[in-house]
Amino acid sequence: MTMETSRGEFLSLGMKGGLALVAGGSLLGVAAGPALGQASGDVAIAKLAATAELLAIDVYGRAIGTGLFDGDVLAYMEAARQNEQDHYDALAGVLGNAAPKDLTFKYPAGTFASAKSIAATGVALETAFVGAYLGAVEALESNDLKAVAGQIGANEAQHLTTFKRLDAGGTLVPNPSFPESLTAKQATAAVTPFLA
Amino acid sequence: MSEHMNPDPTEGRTVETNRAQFLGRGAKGGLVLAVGGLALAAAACGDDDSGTASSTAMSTAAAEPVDDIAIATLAATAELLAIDFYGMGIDSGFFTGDQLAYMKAAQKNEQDHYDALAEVLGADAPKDLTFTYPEGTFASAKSIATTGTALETAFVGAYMGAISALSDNGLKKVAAQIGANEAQHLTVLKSLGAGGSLVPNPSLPEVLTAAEATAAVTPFLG
Repeated sequence: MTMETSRGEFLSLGMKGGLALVAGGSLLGVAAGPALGQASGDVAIAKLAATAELLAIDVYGRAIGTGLFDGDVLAYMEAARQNEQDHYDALAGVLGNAAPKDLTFKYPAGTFASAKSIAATGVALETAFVGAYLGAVEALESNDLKAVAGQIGANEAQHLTTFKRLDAGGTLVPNPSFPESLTAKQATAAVTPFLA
Repeated sequence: MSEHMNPDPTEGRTVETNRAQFLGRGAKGGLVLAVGGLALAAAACGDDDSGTASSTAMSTAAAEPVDDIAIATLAATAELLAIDFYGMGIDSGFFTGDQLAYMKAAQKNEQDHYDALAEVLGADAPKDLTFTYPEGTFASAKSIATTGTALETAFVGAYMGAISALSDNGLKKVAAQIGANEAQHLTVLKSLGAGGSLVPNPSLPEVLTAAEATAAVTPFLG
């Protein structure tokens, strides 16, 4: 069936399922292994994941479209968007017609007004993504999916440290020894403002 | 695994991990060198996980002493290598300003891992290890960054492999946390190696087997 994930459904899944919104790329790994045969909770994660990936793709796309970035920074933003696109493509391949699509997102006024405001938003989003992926490692039932969630979390952590650097004007910013792990509720709360 | 590679926490003896033991564990035990901070992290993560992580580590050690203690011992060894490497990098004098601050913070990350791990292992924690580096490793900022990239790539890959290899669900999450932290170190070192330019990352970090991770780190073990 074709599933159109509405904002309400999305939030509901995030709140009730004990599954983090940004468990996103988890299904990515499923593409290479057993996926939809997993517990229903894991399938729910897959649907939420695709939604989160669409949000990430949208953010990077808008940032690139501002024209505020060039050189290696622009190349990095394009590569990061491709990272997210790769996640979504694999996820959509697993979900088929059930994959969410054609979603729209909204952003606070001024989000894309400057490189710094974009970086600040990126820090907030990627912090939520990393935390949620780490939480998903614990929440998922499939051991294979746990590993994939860990991989995606590490990739998002790299995005995060780069956004923190951009937000600091190019200066390197140290990281905590243990990145924070978020619950599904916390991750959903962090991303909710961006769902139209 | 030979029996001396699987320290029994109830024995309370000090384990001096030598190079042969270390490599033997990595190759045969399905346990990767860079699962390093796992037990460690388990001890340190109590605050952000409702105070359960520390108890998870301890209960895991009690319930499954062979695998988890072996991982913790290997972990401490890996952390010592990382601490040593960053210390050598800092002392080289090639880094200043925010780069020096980052190197010191990264060393502290690794030290945090080791300290927590040593607390879990007690007298069994490896210590006073020495490491060797290829000639020219610390001859320039670029050579340091290149070596750091190789090490951190192995660490990240090994942690990713550890997520699925570990049996304790709490430790799986901790492995993911440590892997994410190492991935951050990796992307910074890649940038330093590129003269400060940002370097894109693969969508999914590579997963290493224990044998692959061990092979990557072997040249540094004294």
